Amino acid sequence: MNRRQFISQLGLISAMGLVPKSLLALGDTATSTFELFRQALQKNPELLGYQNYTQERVVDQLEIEGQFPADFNGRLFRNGPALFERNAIRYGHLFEGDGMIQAFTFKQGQVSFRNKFVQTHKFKTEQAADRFLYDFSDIGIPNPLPISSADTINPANTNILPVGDELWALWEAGSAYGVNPDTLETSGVIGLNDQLKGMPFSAHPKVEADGTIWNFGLDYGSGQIIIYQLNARGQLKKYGLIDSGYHAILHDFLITKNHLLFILPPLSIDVNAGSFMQQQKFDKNQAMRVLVVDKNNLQVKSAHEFPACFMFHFGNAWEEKDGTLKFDGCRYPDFNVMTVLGDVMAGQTSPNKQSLSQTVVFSIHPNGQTKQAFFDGLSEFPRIYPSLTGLKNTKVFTTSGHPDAETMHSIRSVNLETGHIDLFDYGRDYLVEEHIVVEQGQKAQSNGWLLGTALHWPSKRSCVSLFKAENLSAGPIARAWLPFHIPLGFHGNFKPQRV
Amino acid sequence: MNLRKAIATGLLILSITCSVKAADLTVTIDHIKSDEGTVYAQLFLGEDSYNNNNAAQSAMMPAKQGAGEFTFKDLTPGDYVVRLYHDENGNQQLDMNAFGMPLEGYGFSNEAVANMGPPQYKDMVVRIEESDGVVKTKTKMTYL
Repeated sequence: MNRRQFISQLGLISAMGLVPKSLLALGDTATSTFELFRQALQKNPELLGYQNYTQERVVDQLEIEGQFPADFNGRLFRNGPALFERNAIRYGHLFEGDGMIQAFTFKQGQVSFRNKFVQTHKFKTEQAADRFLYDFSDIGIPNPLPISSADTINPANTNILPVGDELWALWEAGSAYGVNPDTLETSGVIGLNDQLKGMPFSAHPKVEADGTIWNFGLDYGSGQIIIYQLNARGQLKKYGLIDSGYHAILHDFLITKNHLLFILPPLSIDVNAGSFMQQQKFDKNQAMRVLVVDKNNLQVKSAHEFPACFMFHFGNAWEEKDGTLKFDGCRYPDFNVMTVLGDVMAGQTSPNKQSLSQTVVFSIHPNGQTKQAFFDGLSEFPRIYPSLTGLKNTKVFTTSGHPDAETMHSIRSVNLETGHIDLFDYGRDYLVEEHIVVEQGQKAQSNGWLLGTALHWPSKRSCVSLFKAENLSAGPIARAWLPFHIPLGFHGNFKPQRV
Repeated sequence: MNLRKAIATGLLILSITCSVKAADLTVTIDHIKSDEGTVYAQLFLGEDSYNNNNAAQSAMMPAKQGAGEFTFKDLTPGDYVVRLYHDENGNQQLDMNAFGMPLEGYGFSNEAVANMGPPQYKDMVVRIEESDGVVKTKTKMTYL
């Protein structure tokens, strides 16, 4: 029975007065997702990380194991979808939840915490109405309001970037929202200039060592990509448009010293296939395209092809002395991961459907020849030493885990030249999130830190751990515990602070 | 549409209207954001004229914050669409961002609104019958 038939049958039953009105008021998909998740959570406590979250809290002092260095001062900001449910309706995809900012403050060995939802147009209007108002994914939200622009439904839920004196909460398809780093109060939509109002500003800007910010936004309809260059204070320096011929999900991109790289997986859109997520069709027989754009004139300089694959995230890109372009990413052999991230909303962990991602280094030689080098082990959320963004780097830091595990439970660094792996396993009772590299002092790359959060599901608590980046296998030098759990987030960044 | 074409179209409509009763179309605007600039209205007769951006009539008024109203008089029976935009900066065009999203307010007859794309013709159309005196339609202005 398809959805339309199902709904019309519900209508028939309603006429007979056999079904309570409260149930009929809800769409079939959203209701069943809500019920399925509730039932699944009782059987599988690991699903805690995807549970609906509404609390905004402050914790002045976290319980600490080990010792945070007295000179490790600053804040870890993280963003992720947290509010998934209103009135017994649950979103059908992880990416739809409203963005919630988490802030861990490290000050002279102590750690404090606060979290707050980004006050987007969507969140504020739905909060006031006490119900979901926008049915972006056609899940059956009653009496939905029209969606006149992407910012109407912008949940600002993907990343949080320190820019000047404030933070920018980022989503893939809409504007950035300004957030105060001290209070986490939302200041409003970031306006780059009048002509760029309402334009997408992706969740994966690249920041060069001098603070220059590069970013992009894709217009799914036209396939045009806007490229932004901003200064360290977030002011627009220049922008340009390229025609990509690509219309599907585009999450991340790369920069080198002289170029921007857009990696376009073999995805196309089937407009008759339901929600936007369901419309994405992966064709394993088509190539993954790479567009190389000149940073100076923002024009496409060359295009290259690799065998079909999908990547959400890239570590870094750089230019070798001989002109070879190299970049690394967490490569999935197909697009099943997107289905898995939807299934988890209904409490379905789908180990059989899950395709594993691994670190791959892609090379484009000056003669146009391309190569791929594969590195063993599960790999996601790649990060590098921030000062090497766009420059040659040897190490990428990722989350990892045992291939038979349904979630990430390790962190590691991979030496892209030697293949050496330095790994720390939190254990299967942790859900490990993105860990970021923090540089401190002159010899940044030998004194760096790796900092990240994890959810310990048996005790229903989250923690933040600090490692020496060059010796992960020694384990964390310090860990701070919240007395409760916070939902699994996506991305974050560290902002150093003088004390 | 050039002036010659506009006059020709007008004459054609006039010649038709001689034999049938005329009606007025009143368009009420729910919410104009500010007193800045001008609100423009275009009236289209039939789907082709809308798709070809070939307005049968147009009208304008200084913007005034709050509700507003236009009236198109002596219309022959037919299917009409009204499109409005609020030219806040007075450059006589609907400004758009680099991806073609309107940066100024816009609205359509029959309270049709953009929803993941522009509204459909069928949602905007107002039918005027021979026996009608004054037909009323509402518009919902959308600002980015």
